Amino acid sequence: MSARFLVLAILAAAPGSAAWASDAYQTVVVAPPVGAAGEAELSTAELRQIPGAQGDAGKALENLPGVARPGLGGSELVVWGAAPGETRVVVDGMEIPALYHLGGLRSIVHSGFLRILTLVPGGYGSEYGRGLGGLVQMVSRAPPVEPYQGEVGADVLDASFAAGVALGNAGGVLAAGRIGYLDRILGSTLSPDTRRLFSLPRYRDFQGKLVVPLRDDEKIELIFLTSSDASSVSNNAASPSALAEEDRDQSFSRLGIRYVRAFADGSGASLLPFVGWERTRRKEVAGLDSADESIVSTVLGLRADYVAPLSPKLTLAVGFDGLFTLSDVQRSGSATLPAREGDLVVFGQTISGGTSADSWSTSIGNLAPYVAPEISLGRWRLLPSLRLDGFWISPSRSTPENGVTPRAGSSRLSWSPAPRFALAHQTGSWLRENLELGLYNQAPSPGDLSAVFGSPTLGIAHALHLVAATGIDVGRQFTVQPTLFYRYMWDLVMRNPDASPPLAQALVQDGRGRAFGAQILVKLAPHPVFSGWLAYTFSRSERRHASEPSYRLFDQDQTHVLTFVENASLRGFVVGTRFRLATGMPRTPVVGSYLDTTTGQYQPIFGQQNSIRLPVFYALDLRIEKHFRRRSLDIVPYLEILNLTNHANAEEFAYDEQFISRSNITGLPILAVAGVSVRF
Amino acid sequence: MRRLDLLAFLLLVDCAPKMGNSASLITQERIIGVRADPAEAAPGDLVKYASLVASFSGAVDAQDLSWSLCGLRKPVAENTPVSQACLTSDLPQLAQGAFASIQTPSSACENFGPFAPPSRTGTLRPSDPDATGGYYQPLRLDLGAEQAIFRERLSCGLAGASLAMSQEFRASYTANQNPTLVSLSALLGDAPASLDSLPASQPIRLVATWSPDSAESYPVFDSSSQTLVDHREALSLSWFATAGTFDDFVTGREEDDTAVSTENVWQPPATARVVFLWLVLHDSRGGADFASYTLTVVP
Repeated sequence: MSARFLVLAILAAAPGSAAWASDAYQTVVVAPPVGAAGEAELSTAELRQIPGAQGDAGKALENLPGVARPGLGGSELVVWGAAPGETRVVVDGMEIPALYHLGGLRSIVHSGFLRILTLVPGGYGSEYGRGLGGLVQMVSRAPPVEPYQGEVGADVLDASFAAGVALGNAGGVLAAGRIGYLDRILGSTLSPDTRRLFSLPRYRDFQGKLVVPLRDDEKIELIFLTSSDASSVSNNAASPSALAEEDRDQSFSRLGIRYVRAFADGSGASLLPFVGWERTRRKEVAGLDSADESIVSTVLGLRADYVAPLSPKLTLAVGFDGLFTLSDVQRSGSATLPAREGDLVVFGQTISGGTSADSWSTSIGNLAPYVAPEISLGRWRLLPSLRLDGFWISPSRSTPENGVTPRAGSSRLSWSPAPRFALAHQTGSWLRENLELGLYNQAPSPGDLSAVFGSPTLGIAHALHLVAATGIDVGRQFTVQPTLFYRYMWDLVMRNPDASPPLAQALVQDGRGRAFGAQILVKLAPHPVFSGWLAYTFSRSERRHASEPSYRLFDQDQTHVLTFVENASLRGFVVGTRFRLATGMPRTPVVGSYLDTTTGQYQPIFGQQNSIRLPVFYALDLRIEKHFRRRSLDIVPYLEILNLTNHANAEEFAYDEQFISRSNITGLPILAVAGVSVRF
Repeated sequence: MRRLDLLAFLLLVDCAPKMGNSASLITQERIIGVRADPAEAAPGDLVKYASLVASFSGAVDAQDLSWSLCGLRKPVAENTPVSQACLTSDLPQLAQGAFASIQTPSSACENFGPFAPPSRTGTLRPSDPDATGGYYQPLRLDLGAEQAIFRERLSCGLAGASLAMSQEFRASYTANQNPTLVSLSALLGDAPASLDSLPASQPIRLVATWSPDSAESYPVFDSSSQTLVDHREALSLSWFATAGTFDDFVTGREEDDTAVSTENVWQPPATARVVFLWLVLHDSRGGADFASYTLTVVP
């Protein structure tokens, strides 16, 4: 599947190919790795009709199987039980740090800039790596074939645009961007308690692409991406010991030049050097303690891909995927802020840990050549592939700052082979099977390589993916895609559980994890009146320290996630509904409390870790739109009603100051959004 | 494909529960304050402790109060001020009663301070100081099923600093002193009201005052810049009463706020009665003072 997708991407970008024009303004979302069993595709029109997604392709990913429902205000993508930082997001071959803006209201790349958006929850091919979880891959559109095309939009969240200009001979310019202003609209209307949970983000993003054709089937693309986010929350407490604040800033840019060549023999090649900048800052105050972390990074990357059909039965893909990240990190405050996965903490808890400070720099590089042949043998397709992950890790400081002792760093290079294997079989015209197996590696984050807050000796974490999928056509009406998955992870970074850990080992690599389950996608075949799908995922994700005898639930585990999306078109009306049901995420119960008489704040006594859950979430959303055609205008007034049953979904537990009584912080009540879309 | 979206309206309602301030209401015996003298002690020093135990019928001379030292370090993975094991372990009782005199362990600065405990496997990670540069020896107080923690501030000196910096720190640092509560006054609107005659069902502004020298200045060693940074203590005041409700459980002043008073709004009970009220003042270096008052609510 991986090699096949690479071919698709190159052909889509090649000026002379049929795909160049016909797909120029279509966005598709491809669901899990069923490969030849057939993918679920959503057209742009379908995407914009999904209630709750507001026409955002990235937000539409949340309705696919394998994706956990994010909490209200959450911007993290949890796929098949993998931590958010373990799933990679790639735009036109360039890795970016996040899929969503802070607050999770919008994805970072405008849908009008995208042609293909792919979610592979696991088992992806050798051309990508550096992550233990899934892969989100976005491919930008080609410039329009008409002189110009575009769209502008505005709603309560943001104002946006996407536009393209043809420059002849399939060259052109494409640009898109967005500016959010929700914080200005709602900033003064929320209560302090609500603002502690729901930040109101400020965000903006811009994407640009210049395509310069050279010869037939040869071109150069200049691609620029940038995004900026800021959010601030505070409870404005009357006492410094009860204060809770969080300020976050994150921004990134990417600039790449891609050379693409499609040869007459059906082979293709691309070369993409790119450079980028990233900046994140997170300042958190909890009672008398605080934490302030700032990371500034420079990113250098290079991708080279070559695909050649050597014979009717053999296609070979080879390439190189390299990324080098140079980071300067400054951190001060509590070692336990912000909380990590596995920490015992409850919402609203004032933290009275210690405080410290460190500043360090890191160089983390991944050099990964890969080879991925695809062998076709009748009804069978075999894709054995190998990625050789070379990791360079170099923190500037091995021990904490100590008086006038000069700092000493370390450097190490390690090689981790990542073999992967995919098998596809076509039993009949209505039945397909896939099996995918692979090893995946991930380097530690720069923030974890501190001699004070983490460990400079952290190395590579690993995961084994196993995916079995089937695609079944049920008559002409349905496609059914059941999938089984298993992921085992080891050498995960966790806090050191020892009361007296060795110096510079606050974090250790003794974590184990596993995630397993099944999902099914039932999708209606394209029909002039009805469209939609039913997605259900059963998943269990667990973690443990190597010294612990048994697993505990992963902090963001969701056992059941059910999504039903339907659109019906009749007499100019389109009625869309979405129903979502998801198990609540695990929480650790508070079984008692005590007064810390030094600060005057009560502190919780915890029960068994992650042994209770937030209540089950469910919501029914409705969208009604009517199409009018007036001359060259397509006028579409619409009404969206979110949480139609006004169910009070619990998004978090809240405790009183003594941790005696517990109540639910609920999500959005019934919410009506009306508007009009004018296309011209 | 060109389009213009206009969203007509959005309805958003607050979703957070109102939890109230139940911590302020005293309905049964509760340990609500501990004061150490001296407020900061070196290893081996004898420290006198005084407790404040409140009950529905007023302050209690808690003869059954048990005092224990906890020698268990807090793992880095725990987000609480002391190890959870300090609450659940069997600890030897060192004193009993409302007052206690306990010697600070000689190994306190190795166990809870900047000097890592000895190890045969290499250098161990020392404890992190709090935001004021302080290290603390935990004590556990048990009164029946009620538990509380007090952390005695330790005089340990600096670690990770040059010799010159350590000398400068010693020369400029003054051990913490307990703050001093001075008075409590009541205002009905802006008019003074007597604590012996407060009208029922009318919100009362209560103003607590402390002495000007309660908020002390002190240097903190910044390990990242290897410099001393001057700070001033923040003060927090916990409010407790046997009836009525406070707007806030804790009020106070930030370190850059030089005011010597803090205010809370108290809604008295609807019927006439005597109400016991306690104030517990904390400075950010672990010092404390407390005071008890009797309020009379009249029809």
